[in-house]
Amino acid sequence: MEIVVEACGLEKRFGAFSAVDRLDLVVERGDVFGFLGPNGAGKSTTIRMMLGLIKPSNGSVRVLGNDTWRNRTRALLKVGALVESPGLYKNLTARQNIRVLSEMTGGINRQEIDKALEQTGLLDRSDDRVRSFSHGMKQRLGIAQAIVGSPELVILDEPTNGLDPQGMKEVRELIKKLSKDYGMTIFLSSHLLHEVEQVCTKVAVIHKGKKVASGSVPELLSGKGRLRITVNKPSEAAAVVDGSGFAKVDEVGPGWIVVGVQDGCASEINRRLVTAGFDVSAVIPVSTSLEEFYFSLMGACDVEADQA
Amino acid sequence: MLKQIRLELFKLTRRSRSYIGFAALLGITGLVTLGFKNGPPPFQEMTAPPGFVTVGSVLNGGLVAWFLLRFMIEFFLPLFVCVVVGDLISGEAAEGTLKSMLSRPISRGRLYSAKLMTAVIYTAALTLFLGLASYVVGAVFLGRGALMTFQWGGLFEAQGVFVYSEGEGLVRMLLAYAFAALAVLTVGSIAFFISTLVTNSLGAIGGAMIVYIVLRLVGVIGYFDPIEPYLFTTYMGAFEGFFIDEIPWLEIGKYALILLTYSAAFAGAGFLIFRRKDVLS
Repeated sequence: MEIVVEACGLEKRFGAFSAVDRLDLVVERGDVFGFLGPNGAGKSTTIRMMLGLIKPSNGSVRVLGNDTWRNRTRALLKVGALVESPGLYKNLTARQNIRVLSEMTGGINRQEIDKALEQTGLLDRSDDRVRSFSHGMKQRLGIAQAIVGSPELVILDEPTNGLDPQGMKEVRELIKKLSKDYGMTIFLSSHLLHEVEQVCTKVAVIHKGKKVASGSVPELLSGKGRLRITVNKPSEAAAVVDGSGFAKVDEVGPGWIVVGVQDGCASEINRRLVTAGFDVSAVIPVSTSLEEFYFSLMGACDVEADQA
Repeated sequence: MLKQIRLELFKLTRRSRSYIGFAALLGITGLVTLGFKNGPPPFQEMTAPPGFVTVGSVLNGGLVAWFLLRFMIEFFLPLFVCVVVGDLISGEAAEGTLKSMLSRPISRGRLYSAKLMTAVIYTAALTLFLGLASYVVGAVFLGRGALMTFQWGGLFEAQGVFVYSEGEGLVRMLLAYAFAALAVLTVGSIAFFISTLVTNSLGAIGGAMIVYIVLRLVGVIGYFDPIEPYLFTTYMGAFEGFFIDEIPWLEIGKYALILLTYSAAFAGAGFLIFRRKDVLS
């Protein structure tokens, strides 16, 4: 697959503070890439480096084959971006905003501007000044100026920020559509887990400037299977599970235990418990959401940081 | 490049800030014309050397334009230019539009040059507007006629009253205003330079005006005479050379070059900062 974004050992320090720390990322053509992390994790700093807005302290980012600091004009030729709060001209209309910004990319005509306005639901307000827009409308205009002219790569930094649930849903649908119908590669940063889970094909999780996990969503969640086993004498059963070597008890309740197991080991656990004389009345998979995965990851990171 | 200048000018025309200077200069022109027309001989006290008696009226559009140029270049013209020029980059940084622009495939050098050209165009437009407005308003309310100016001392050590026919007066006025635009641009270039450093246009405007006023102050204190030749403010009044009967072209050219060098130095320093600055706003 063609690589669209490639960060190698990317670092940004502000004085002694390391905002982004030796970050490696690969985004391939067609990906809807989720860039996940809590506020202040270094997501926006990374995105600003991807756009050549700030100079990396170390390492580099290549976008569509060009280094974004040394060769920004070529790197950004087919890129649309929304960085944090949308930077818009409040005294210009929605259409004028898109025109003023997209003319800097060039080759974008009126029909394409209309299409971007329509896709973001702003067509009927296109000749109103942005000054009169609500926060959500400004956010949608920020998205419109990023997707106008169907760029190959669209970078969206927290695009649903400030939108109501309906607006959030519309943006998610739009992102899916842009990827599916127009083949755009989307790089989406977010701190909203369900958003990333619903939309993205691949995810990288960043915490305190460091990448702590990455892969496709199923990949990240696989091997994290959990089973809720209804069993008599749960405490004794827990000891058997822990002794098995391929499963670990998470919780022990009255008449049940929750066990973390590797993929495909559910039947083996069941067999061991039955062989050991327990009455197993139910084995139910507990589905791990990205959210649970994320929080377990953040928890683990903080424990590591405390120990260090 | 031309396209970007066009975009910058378009944005400029859509900002109310851009019109403050034009409105204020027009207002001041009206005020001065009103005073000249109705006051008990205001002209003698305000502009002519003591003991000099004129017969007939010298009040006309040319005189208003000449008087206002001398007066406005001291403070208001630099201020109104800085209000807009100091906002060209810092204002975009404050609104977050700088990052939107620089997320587009335009080189920083090209954007900076387009902004700089916009600053030059605005400075020239505002300065020439003062000339046009004062000449026209003056001509409408006071009439037209020969241009009478006077000088004593100053940069060219010239002394005397100079009278020119209406046509010649107009040409000299145009040249003087063109030089004044260059002089005001030097102050503007300080504001433009500071504009690359801050995300608040007030910092750029205030900073440039403080530098300008301090230099003017230093220029009039005898103790600092040795450094006076190195201050750009020393040469800002050189437009007066165009009202001496034998225009001192060589000296005016030299002073223009000095002012241009200062402007280029500030613009160049701004570019070095803008080229590598982290856009965090």
